[in-house]
Amino acid sequence: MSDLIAAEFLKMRTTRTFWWVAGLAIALSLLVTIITLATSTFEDAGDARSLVSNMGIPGLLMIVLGVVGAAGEYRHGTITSTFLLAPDRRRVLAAKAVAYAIGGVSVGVVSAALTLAISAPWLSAQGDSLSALGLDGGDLAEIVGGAVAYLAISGVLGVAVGALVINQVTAVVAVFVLLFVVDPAVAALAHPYGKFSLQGLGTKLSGASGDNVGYDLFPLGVAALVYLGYAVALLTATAAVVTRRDVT
Amino acid sequence: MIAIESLMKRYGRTVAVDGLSFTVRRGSILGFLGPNGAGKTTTLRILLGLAEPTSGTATIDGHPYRSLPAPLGTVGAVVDTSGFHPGRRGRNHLRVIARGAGLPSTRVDEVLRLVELEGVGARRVKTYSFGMKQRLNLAGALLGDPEVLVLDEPANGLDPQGIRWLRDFLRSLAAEGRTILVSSHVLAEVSQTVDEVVVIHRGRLRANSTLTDLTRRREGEAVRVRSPQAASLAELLTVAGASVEASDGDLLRVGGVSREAVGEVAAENRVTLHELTTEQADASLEDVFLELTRDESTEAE
Repeated sequence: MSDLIAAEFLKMRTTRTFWWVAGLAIALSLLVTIITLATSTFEDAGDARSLVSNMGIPGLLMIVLGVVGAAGEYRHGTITSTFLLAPDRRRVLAAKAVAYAIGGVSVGVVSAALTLAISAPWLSAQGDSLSALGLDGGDLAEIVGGAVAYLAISGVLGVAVGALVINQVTAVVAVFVLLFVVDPAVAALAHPYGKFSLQGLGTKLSGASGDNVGYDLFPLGVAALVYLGYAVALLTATAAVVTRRDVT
Repeated sequence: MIAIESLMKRYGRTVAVDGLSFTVRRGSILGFLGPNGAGKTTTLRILLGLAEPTSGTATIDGHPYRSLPAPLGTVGAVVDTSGFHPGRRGRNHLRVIARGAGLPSTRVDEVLRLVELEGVGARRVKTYSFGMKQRLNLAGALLGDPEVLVLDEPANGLDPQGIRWLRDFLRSLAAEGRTILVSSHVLAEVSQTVDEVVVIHRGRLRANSTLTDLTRRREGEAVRVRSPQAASLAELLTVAGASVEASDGDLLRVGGVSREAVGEVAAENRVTLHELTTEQADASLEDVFLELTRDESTEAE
């Protein structure tokens, strides 16, 4: 199993896609952080929280990375050599999921570090600080942990979707439609569902205050477990399909 | 040993493989022939665990591919002409496979040398020519140093130099005692390489024998005779029960009797012979192949 995970890492590292998308994701979170710093006034813990929660922005692109990584094997035909070396396809899928989870952790750690590295000096230049705004070390650790978990699980979710749908473009479009149309619409119409929605879970996990989403959110730990539950459930379903499906 | 037994594969109402059975003996090279769409690729994909049969079995040393303990060390396969991420470097493509199979990375450089790609391993695969990609595929198949090779149309799309290289390469692999199952829709590509052939057509077995048996059984032994007394020899041979086909001047093509019998007839009747040979098998092999698969091509149009 460790060989397969190492191979998945090597696949990730040896194409430019991963570096470009991960770089773009981190750049995006930094850009939004800088815009927030430049345009907002910081008065309370909520403001500080929404600033720091920008570190969770790469979540969406981690899903895209997982999708592209898994569906890309079918697109380029490398799935054949992958299944030839590891005929137990569930192991392949599990290895890929682990690799993208770790990829998500890595992107999350970099994104968190850079977000804080920009925010802290910027605030202190204005004679302010996160702790002065009411965000203590414990809060910060919770936000970082949540964001890192969010990115890691997003990678797994992406792998599950990509391996299920196979067609890269269809899979990416499906993710966008689900994330930006279906999920928010359902959450807006049925508030009791809100905390189960991907939007609600993402908001909670990335550490945003969630005051303006219009529905209650799960506590952080529960939100992480629910999101992980989705990813694992979909991955299990995908494994059943992938194992039966002929590779042509 | 590779064993295909009563293999059947349906896609909806289409039957791709229809009760196919054959074996590849250890240490032999078997040419798996048939026109495009005959079911070769489907059969090989089932053998390699990439597709599930509707019924029947395909095994390697008694195991289905999916239950081989070390698949890459047992079977090396080339089943795609693509199969690469265009942005990945050739050497990295092999490193991924080696890593996944737990093979040492030194093997990567060894197989790159083996297929003569050592100079271009650092280049991205999208810059490779078709022939280079095929060789990279072969390198991947050889990573685990397998005893069995399964190659689906490895010569497809290669230029004449590439085909020559492949032929020599397969011969050298066979000389090492490996078992090779190689498919093709072009008989000439494999006729000089293989020991035995299996010809399929519409998913069904049409022939399974050695190359020489295949042509002998179909054609009988055709004998080429050149004689200044061709006309009288033709008469004598016809009387002896042979079928004689006279071509230009002194050349006869004799069927239904052995070369020795033709010689005897000529000697008894004091007929001078300038040439007495058995017809080259390769020439009629193409005809045999076309004959075995004829109704498919015409029906398919």
